[in-house]
Amino acid sequence: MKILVVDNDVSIGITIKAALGLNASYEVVISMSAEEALEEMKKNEYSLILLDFMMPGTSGVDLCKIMASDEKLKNIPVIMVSALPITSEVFQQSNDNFNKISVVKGLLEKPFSVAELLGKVEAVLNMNK
Amino acid sequence: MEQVVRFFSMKVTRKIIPVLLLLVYFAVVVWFILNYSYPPQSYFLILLFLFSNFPSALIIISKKSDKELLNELKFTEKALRETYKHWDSLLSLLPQAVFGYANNTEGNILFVNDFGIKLFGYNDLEDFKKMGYLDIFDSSQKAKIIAERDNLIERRSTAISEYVGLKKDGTKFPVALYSTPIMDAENKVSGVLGILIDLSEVKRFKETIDQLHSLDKAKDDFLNIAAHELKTPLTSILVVSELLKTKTKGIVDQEIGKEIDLVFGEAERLKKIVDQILTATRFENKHNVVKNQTFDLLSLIKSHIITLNSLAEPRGSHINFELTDGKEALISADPDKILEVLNNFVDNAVKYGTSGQTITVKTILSGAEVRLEISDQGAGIEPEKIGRIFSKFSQLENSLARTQEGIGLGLYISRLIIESYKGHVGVESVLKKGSTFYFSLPLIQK
Repeated sequence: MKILVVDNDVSIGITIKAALGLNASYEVVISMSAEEALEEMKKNEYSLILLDFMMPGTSGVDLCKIMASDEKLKNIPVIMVSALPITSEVFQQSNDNFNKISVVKGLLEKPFSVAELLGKVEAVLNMNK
Repeated sequence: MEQVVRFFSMKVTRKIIPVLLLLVYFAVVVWFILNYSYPPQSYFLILLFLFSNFPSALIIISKKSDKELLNELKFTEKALRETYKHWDSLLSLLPQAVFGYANNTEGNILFVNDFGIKLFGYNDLEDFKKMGYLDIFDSSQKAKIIAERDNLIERRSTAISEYVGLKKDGTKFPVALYSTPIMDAENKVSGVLGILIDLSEVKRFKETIDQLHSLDKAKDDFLNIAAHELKTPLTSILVVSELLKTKTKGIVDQEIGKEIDLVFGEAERLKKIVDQILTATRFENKHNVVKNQTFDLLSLIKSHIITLNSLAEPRGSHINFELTDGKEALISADPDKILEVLNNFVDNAVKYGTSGQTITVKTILSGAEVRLEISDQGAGIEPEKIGRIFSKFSQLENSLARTQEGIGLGLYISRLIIESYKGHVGVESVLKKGSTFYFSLPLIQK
């Protein structure tokens, strides 16, 4: 199962890749920007995207909107990764926006544990089966 | 009529003689009537004559002598002088400039109190009186001052405005001017009375307070941003050290295993601190989304007994639970937040208690609220520290003397959580005996 991690922070990409490596069936690719991710998604077929909420250039939210309006990409589930607390008002408002963006299927708040990451990924993948 | 009033308002000693005279007058008339026989209708005439003369008699006897009038005038003058002196001392004492100026184009200063002379840096009253009232304000405001004065005189009202004052040496300073027209005997506006307050200090205080506020905000913003920025690297350290821990289990020797545990444990601790800072900031900025549900506090504590024991036992404390039996304590709150407070209180009791102590977790149901008490057998809290214990960074106040880990946000957050559910927190402590931390929350009536 191919999973694409999109984050401008190298260490987060490596960290998520390492953690997801615990499950042998996951094949993880890292993109460092939304533009790079779009290129990658055109080349390969992905089962899940783990996407950073805030990125320079095209943000995570913008990438989701592009995906939602693309026939080929609109069915790929996205998990938003953010340093903003899920209970915060800002995140709740964005969350409302996410709910309107069909591709977003889950939220993951930094810092997360290995179990939280694996659990969330599994849950979203099962949801899409 | 006036005379009658005056007569009755006269001193008793002054009344005696005229009253006696009148009585004698009456007595003589009555004596005549009784001793000489007049036809009955003449009695009526005599009485009529008597009463028609009575007011004139009063006028005559109650009229003041010249001497009396002179004395009265002197007395009034003395009283006026005294009143004037009182007002004059009051004016000199007033820590505000009081002045009057004439209602003419020059606006000549008519009078000014001592404070006003000093405030504007003049030598004396004569020096000050050479000025027109416009000269004591910055020239840029002339038009505004004249317009406001004209308006004031026309409406005969009181005005309060802020201007820039001008001292004799040219120094400018902010002032507030209260002014009201002065009326003469013919009810014409003869001048304007002004009270002028120096706002320099007030402005300075305000600026300092604003600066302090913005510094405080900058500190909060910095903490918030720093905490957010820490989250990303913290994620990597947490996840990778956890992975290392799992992957190297049984492969590396015990020493390295312990070191990896240390990294993971410390990363977890750092996560807790970051969480605390962010929780506190969110509460302060009211960005917290309050999730309420109705639940039984007693059941919640019971389900949490194992976790609480695991907090206490490894560090040599035993917890004794004294929960109200066979009853429910329904409250409306977020159970996770209430557990956070409970953990905080128990964690504190463990940290500050002595090894081998018994911590008591007790619930009290009384009337409209439920109270939860957590008592330790520790050193107690010094009375001078007790008042600040629920404030922000209470641990940091005496950093060198800190005996325990943490940055002193735990109790502060606990207070914010409990207060957000309309409850309150508190502590009672006896030195060398121990402390009891408690919170109470309103009960939901079924």
